[in-house]
Formats: sequence, C-alpha cells, structure tokens
Amino acid sequence: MTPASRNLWIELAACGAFLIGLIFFLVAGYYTAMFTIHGMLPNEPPIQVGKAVFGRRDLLVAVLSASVPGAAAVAAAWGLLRSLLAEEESGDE
Amino acid sequence: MKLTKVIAFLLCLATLAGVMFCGFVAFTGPRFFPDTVPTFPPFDKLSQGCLGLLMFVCILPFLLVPGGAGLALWLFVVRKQEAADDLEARAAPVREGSFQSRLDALTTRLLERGDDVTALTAEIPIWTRDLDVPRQNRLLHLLAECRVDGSGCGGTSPVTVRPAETEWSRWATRALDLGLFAVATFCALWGALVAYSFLGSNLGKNLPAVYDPLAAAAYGSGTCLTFGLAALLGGLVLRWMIRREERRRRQLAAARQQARDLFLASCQRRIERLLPEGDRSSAQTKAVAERIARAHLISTLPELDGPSKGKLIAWLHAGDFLSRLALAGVDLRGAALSATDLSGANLAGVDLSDAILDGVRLVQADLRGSRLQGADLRAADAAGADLRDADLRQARMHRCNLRQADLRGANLRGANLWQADLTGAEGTREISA
Repeated sequence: MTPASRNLWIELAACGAFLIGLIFFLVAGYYTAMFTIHGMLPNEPPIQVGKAVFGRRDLLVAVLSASVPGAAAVAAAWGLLRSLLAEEESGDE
Repeated sequence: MKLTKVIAFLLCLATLAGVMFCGFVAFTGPRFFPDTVPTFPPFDKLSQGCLGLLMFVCILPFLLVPGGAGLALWLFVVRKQEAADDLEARAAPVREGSFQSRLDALTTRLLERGDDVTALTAEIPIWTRDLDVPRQNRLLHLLAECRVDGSGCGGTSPVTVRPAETEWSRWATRALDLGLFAVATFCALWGALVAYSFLGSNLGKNLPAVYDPLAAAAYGSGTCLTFGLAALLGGLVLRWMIRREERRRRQLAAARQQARDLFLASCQRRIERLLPEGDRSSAQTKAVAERIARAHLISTLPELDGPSKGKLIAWLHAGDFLSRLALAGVDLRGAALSATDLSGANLAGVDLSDAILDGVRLVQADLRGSRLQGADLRAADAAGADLRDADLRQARMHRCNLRQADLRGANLRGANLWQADLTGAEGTREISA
C-alpha cells in the first residue's frame, strides 16, 4: 500500500467515523425533540418504557447513551485527520 | 516499531483484558445474581466464592493462550532481533574503522602500481578476506573505478537486499496508543452511565424483582470499567514501549552516524593525501592520484545520506578539489546543500536530482548537462551559471536568481519559476510562460 492510498483510506475512515457520530447525535437529538414535543402537548399520557415511566432522568440516560458513542466517533475522526496533518507537517520539515 | 512487537503486545493485552473481565464476572456474578448459580450437584454444595474460583480456573487456560503466544514471540523473536540490531549498530564504528585502514593500505598499493593495475586482480581475495558482503562490494566498486577487474573474483556474492521487515509506522503505533486511551475513556463514561441508569433513573425498575438495582448497577458498570482499566493499562504500557523504542532508535542512529562520520572523515583524509596542495609530482602520477581519489569519492557517495553528501561536496569545493576531480555522472541525488557557497564550482554532468539546494550560491557555477530534476532551488543565487542542457524538470525555482545565466538547451518542463529573476538570461525564449 502506497502512502497516498493509505492516506486515502484513513480519510475515508475518518469520514465514516464522522458520519456515524453524526447519526448518533441525530438519534440523541430525536429523543430530546420527541420528549420536548410530548411535554408540550396537552393531556398526553406519560411515556412508559416497560414498567418505568420515562422521565427527565431517563431522557438524560437515553441522550447520553446515544451522544457518548457519537462523541467518541467524532473524536476518532478528528484524531485521524489531525494525525495525518501532523505526519504531513513532519514530512515537510 | 516492528510489527512483531506490536502483535506480541496486542496478544498480551488480549490476555490481560480477558483475565480481568472473566475474573470480574466469575467472582462477582454469583454474588450479585445468586439465582443464576447452578443448583444441581456437585455445584449446589459450593459457596459463591468457590464457584467463582472454579469458573475462573476453568476458563483461565484458554485466556492464557494468546498471552503465551505473545510472550513467546517477544522472548524468542523480538528480543533476538533487537539484540542483533544493537550488536550490528554498536559494532559498526569498529568494523568501519578497520575497513578504512584496509582502504588506506589499498590506496597505497594502487599508488605504487600506478597505471599498471592488472596484477592487483590476483590480490583481490586478500583484500576482501573477512569482509562482510556490503563492504566487499564497496571495495570491489572502488577497484572497478580504478580499472581493476574484479568480476572473476570468487566468494563475493551479489548483494542480496534482505526485505525490510514490515515497520509498523510511528503514526500507526501512536494511533493505537491514543485509541487505547480513547477506549478507556469511553468505557469509564459508559460504566458511569450504566450505573446512573440503574440507580438514578426509572429504567432500573424494568429489572426483574429478584435483582437488586444496586447490584445490577455495580455489575454492569464494573464490566465496562474492567475493559476500560485493561485498555488504560495497555495504553500506558504501549506509551512506555514507544518511548523506549524512540530512545533505542536515537542510540542506534547515533552509532550509525558515528560510523558514517568516520567513513566521511576517512574519505576526506584520503583525498587530501592523494591531492596535496602544491603537488610537484609528474603529470602521470597526478593523473593516477586523481583517478584513485575520484574512485574513492564515487564508491563513498552511495553510502552517505543527503546531509553527508552535502558536507562532502562543500568540503571538496572549499578545498578546491572539485576542479581536479571530474564529477560527471557522479550520484549526488538528494544531497543537502542548503545555503552552501558553491560559486564557480564545476558540477558539470552531476546528478543532483531531488537535491536540496535552497539558498545555495551557484554564481558562475558550471552545471552543464547536470541533472537537477525535482531539485529544490528556491531562492538560489545562480547568476551567470552555465546551465546549458541541464535537466531542470519539476525543479522548484521560486525566487531563484538566474540573471545572465545560460539556459540554452535546458529542459524546464514543469519547473516552477515563480518570481525567478531571468534578466539577461540566455535561452529564455524557449521557456513557456
């Protein structure tokens, strides 16, 4: 594998990681939006998940469950691109 | 870092993570979830601690297999390779010193023989005795340049370049190290989230009644934290390995540089001896000495890196040796000559492809027919230089001073002449805008 093709694969992996992170953030945003909209509706029954009533704390758990992996994926993408940049800079020196 | 080392590390890390995880599950599972404990004989008589220990002991041999393989790889392959590399690098200056002494003796012999070197062919086995293959080839290269026929010499196998072992790039090793720390962070956060979800939110109520939310939280977060801890330990160990590797690489590079410096100094000393200032010997003797000096130079250059080549050329020019040694066809590819003063130097026909010549002074230099393909000539001062028929394809010549330079017949295809000063230069009509 040549350096150029290796860098291409790394950039593709970074883009893929970024997209995956974005999807996770969208899911987290979806939970938040649905909960907020549900709260604004008059006389709506409480959201039930199994035996548990889905409250704010449960929303926090759901949002964090989606956004922590999303943040990890975005951080991975950033780290990959940053290290490519650092390698290019050290190669130029 | 070599790939075998990284594989050994990953195998050991897999064992560590497996042992920690299975240990945690084996010893805490029966305690936190007593209804999962088997109730059939003989297990029903065992305490929870004993049961956990039994489970752990049964699975432990399988977990130790990758770790054992990693340790074996480390002890029998990696350490041997490192010891061999260290020995070779440390012995390099000593071996180079004795080889240079042999070259000095050979130079004296060549001077004695003068133009009649046919008799030296029979002496080649003596000169190449006990030398390793690369040094044998260097010596034979020197003799070939001195017109000594060494082609029929036995015992000198052609240089077989051992394929370099896959070098796991520094970038990939650092990425693996950061990845382990990232996994550790992620596991820590996820473990905290699991604990909070069972204890702080209503989701814990979805558990069957027999399960204690506190136990479930501890168990769930504990499994995440176990992996996180294994990843953290792995990251710390890998960082330590990277630092050790960097230290070792610096030591080996210093040893190799010492051998190279010795090589360079010996070559310079020999050229000074062959071409003394104010030499009053006959024209024939001078011609022989110049041929031998040129042979030394040509056989030395392939062994040098870019900065060393640059040092040698700068030294040759400062000592006015360049005018006496015909360098046409000499390989100076990649030579580092930044900001060096080579005014008036005779570099006709020299191969300076990809050389680093930024800021170099080449005023009135003779570069006819030289190859400067891809060379870095940014801000070089080549006023009045003779660049006829020079190959300057893809050369970087931003802000290069080419006033009054002779560029007739020069190939400038793809050369970057942004802000270059071509005032009065000849042959500029052929240069496309």
